[in-house]
Amino acid sequence: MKKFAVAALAVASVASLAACGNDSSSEREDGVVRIGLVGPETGAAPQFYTDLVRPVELAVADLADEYGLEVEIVTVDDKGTPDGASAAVQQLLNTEDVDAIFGPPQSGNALQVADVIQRSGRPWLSAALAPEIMDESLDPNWLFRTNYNASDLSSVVAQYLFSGDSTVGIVHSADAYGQSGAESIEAEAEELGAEIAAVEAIQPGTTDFSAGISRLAAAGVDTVFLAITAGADTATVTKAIAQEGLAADRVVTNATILADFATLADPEQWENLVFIDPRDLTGDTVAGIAADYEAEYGEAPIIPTNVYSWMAAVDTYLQAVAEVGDARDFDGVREAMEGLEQVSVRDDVYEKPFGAGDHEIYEPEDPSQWIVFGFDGEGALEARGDLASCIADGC
Amino acid sequence: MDAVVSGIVLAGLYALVGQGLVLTFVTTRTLNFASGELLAVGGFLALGVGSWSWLPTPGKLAVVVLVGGALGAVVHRWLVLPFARGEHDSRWLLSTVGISYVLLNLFTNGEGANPQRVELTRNPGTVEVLGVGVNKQSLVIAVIAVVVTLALVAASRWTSGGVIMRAVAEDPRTVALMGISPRLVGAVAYAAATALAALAGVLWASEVGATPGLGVHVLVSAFAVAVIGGLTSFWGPLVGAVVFGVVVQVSAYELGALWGQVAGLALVIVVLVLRPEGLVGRRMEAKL
Amino acid sequence: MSLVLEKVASGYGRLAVLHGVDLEVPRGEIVSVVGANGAGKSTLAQTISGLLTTTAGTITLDGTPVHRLRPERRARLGLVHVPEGRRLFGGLTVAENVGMGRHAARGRRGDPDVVEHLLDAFPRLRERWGQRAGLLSGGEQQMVALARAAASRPRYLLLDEPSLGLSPRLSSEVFRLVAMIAEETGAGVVLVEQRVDAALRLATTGHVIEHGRIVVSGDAEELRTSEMIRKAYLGV
Ligand SMILES: Nc1ncnc2c1ncn2[C@@H]1O[C@H](COP(=O)(O)OP(=O)(O)OP(=O)(O)O)[C@@H](O)[C@H]1O
Ligand SMILES: [Mg+2]
Repeated sequence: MKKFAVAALAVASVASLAACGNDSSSEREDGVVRIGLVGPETGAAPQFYTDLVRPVELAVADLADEYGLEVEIVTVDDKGTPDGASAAVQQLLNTEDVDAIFGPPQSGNALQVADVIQRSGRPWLSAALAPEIMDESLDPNWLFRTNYNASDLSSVVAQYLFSGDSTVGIVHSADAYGQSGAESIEAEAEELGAEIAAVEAIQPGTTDFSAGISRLAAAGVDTVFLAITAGADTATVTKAIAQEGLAADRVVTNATILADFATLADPEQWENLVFIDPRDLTGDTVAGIAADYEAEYGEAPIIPTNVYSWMAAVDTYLQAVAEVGDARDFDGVREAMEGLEQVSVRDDVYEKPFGAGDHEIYEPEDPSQWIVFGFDGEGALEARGDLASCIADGC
Repeated sequence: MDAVVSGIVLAGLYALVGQGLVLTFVTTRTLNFASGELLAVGGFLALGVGSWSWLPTPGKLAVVVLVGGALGAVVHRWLVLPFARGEHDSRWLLSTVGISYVLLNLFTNGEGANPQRVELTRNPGTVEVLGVGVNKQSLVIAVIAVVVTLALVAASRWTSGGVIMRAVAEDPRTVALMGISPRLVGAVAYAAATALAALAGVLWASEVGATPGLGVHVLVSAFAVAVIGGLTSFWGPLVGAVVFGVVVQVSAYELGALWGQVAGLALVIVVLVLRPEGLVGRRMEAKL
Repeated sequence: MSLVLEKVASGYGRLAVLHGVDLEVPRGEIVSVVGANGAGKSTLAQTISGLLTTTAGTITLDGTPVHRLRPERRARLGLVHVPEGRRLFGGLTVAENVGMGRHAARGRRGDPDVVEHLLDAFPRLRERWGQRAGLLSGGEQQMVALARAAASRPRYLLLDEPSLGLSPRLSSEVFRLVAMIAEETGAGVVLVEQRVDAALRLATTGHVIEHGRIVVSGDAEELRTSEMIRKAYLGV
């Protein structure tokens, strides 16, 4: 009896091993570029997965022919958790044997897998915002970021907030994202020798924030910075601003607001709401991407900024592979990415975006590279001008 | 003054949901920990029926409330009754918490975590009350909460259904001897409670958008107000909500926004220590 | 027409208390069940009304098996139980308590309603009609319990120690009203009592219960007067 059980177990495990081998590591074909995408297909924020996979598909469809490459996309689910991300990246590296990794899109998960990917020695492209993911002192450094990083944004936002004769107040979510957002602005303020008049935190999901706003008003605040995780909470805060009649000249937030704020708030609340982004979100390129995206998937992009960043990542990577001629020559591809003359997202062109010690596509030092966006009377996005001119003449 | 007015208006939403908690607690000595997610169901139902242009708004509201009520009866039948087989059986706690997680995950996977705009019963803007600007939708919800409270108090005093409910609250076994099924009373209470949660869900989703987590924060506060006011009286949630709302807002105005929530929950603990039956609740009579 | 128990067993969880009880209660008759403390009298009453589950045997009401029905269903069929300690709804008024009793009579309008007669016979309840039942005296509470039972239009009435905690004078008042209800409604009555003498005087048939078994049954008057039985089972 016992013997039989052992034998059955053995047969079963061999069978399952065989099954594993069959379906997951499909034979690599020579000459095909194999890109591994990792993102939260399940979990609390599946939109980050959706708007990783779709833009990569769209960009590959555009660029593979242009560069004369055959490209295969492999996706794995990180479940939105650091553990899930570790397992997913292991699978991409070991089982799938991909040539490059795109993702995970969420900073915490990207941070979790940074060491593993760096040690694996394969090109890694990321649109996650956390500055900590990037260690530019590494040699070789396999990570290329095609989005801005949060600390660069903070320094740009601070330039804007503390320009002129402003009294600045901060509202941040009482979570890790909000706290670090507020802290980085506070740090920038210290560097600039500027004062922050009041800081208020909002509990995610709070139903009323009039108390927080009235405290900002009492402190004489006329310029508000919002570091808020969810669009619904941003709506709660701007509602309170309207309700309490806080006379704020500028309410500055960031592009995550696009995810859902505009569908929730009413026009009176977006009036002087602005955010700063390095991409020309109202330009033809973004509009064209949105149109193609909608034609393909039947809905508008969920996180347009991520869609843009991942398309930039595809161009960065495929261009380099085409230059080297072999996706398996990881070192060569990395060096080629560092030396690219330009990276484009359709008609938008970034000249010499990377270098040997520079793996970030955007630089904070040049205010003219950054654009101030607001909303018009109908709630449509509008560009108010580049940061340099906004600081100089107001906008 | 600002803080007091906005505290009272804010309290309406919590009172409305808290009323549902009282309904089920009084009749079955159980609480539905999935009320928050059922509230979110109300928000999503509002999205769904929003596109039925042939149905006028009151009809759409009625559909949401009725579906909510039916879900409440289902929860009672399959998740509470089998797990509340006597005074010492508290498995209903696990089963309702369990289903709340299941619903939260289902919604997140099915609908995504992003808020979706709900147009049904939308009242944007602010109005002045006693010289204080308050959110219109919150005011509407507060008025509804007061009306619902008065209706429940009146019904429990003067209708035979209300008498039965008070009798069940005292002694469900003996109510069975009167030819009345305490299980049916429980099912009706769950249906009514969930209908209220769904109604609150529609109203609140119209303000902040429908999300899977719509009810999570609301339920915590609703528990707080029900405990403060007392789980055994229909005046409880309203009284508790006003006290809670004012304490939250005054401390938020005085100490900072985050302290409001802390003060509110601290108040719950104070009440639990000093007056466990709540401000207007009755001490539970020795029974069974 | 009668209420018949055959080999009925029941108890509390794993604790078996009743062991094969046989009992027949004809309509219009008063049957008394007497026994020492802990003998199983209340357990018997609760098993008949359905508050406790029948683990073996059958209970039929005018030929209909009822031992699988929930207590509320049995009450609707006219099986009315006045539990030990009365169990009024203390927060409800007298009127509301009696009104609760009426729910069990739904659908049986044909059976006589003797609430008015009971109130005439015990007018103090009328004066207390709007008061909370919890504030009444013990005697008044027992009368409310009887009125509540009468409002259910009983076909069979289970009375568990109606004289509990009452003075001898009030007890005989209660027994007088029990006899009146039995006569006017024509219900069969199971009267569980520790006041053996008074109970057996009222009843036609008597049963002595001991350790969950009926050990002696017979004519009530004979049981009442038998020295042997009084000494052996009732400790009087
Ligand atoms: N709820 C209960 N759980 C467990 N055992 C019980 C319970 N109620 C009664 N018993 C036990 O069942 C047995 C019979 O109790 P029962 O109440 O039927 O006696 P009784 O004849 O009515 O006594 P009394 O004259 O004191 O009312 C006793 O041994 C008692 O301890
Ligand atoms: Mg007894």
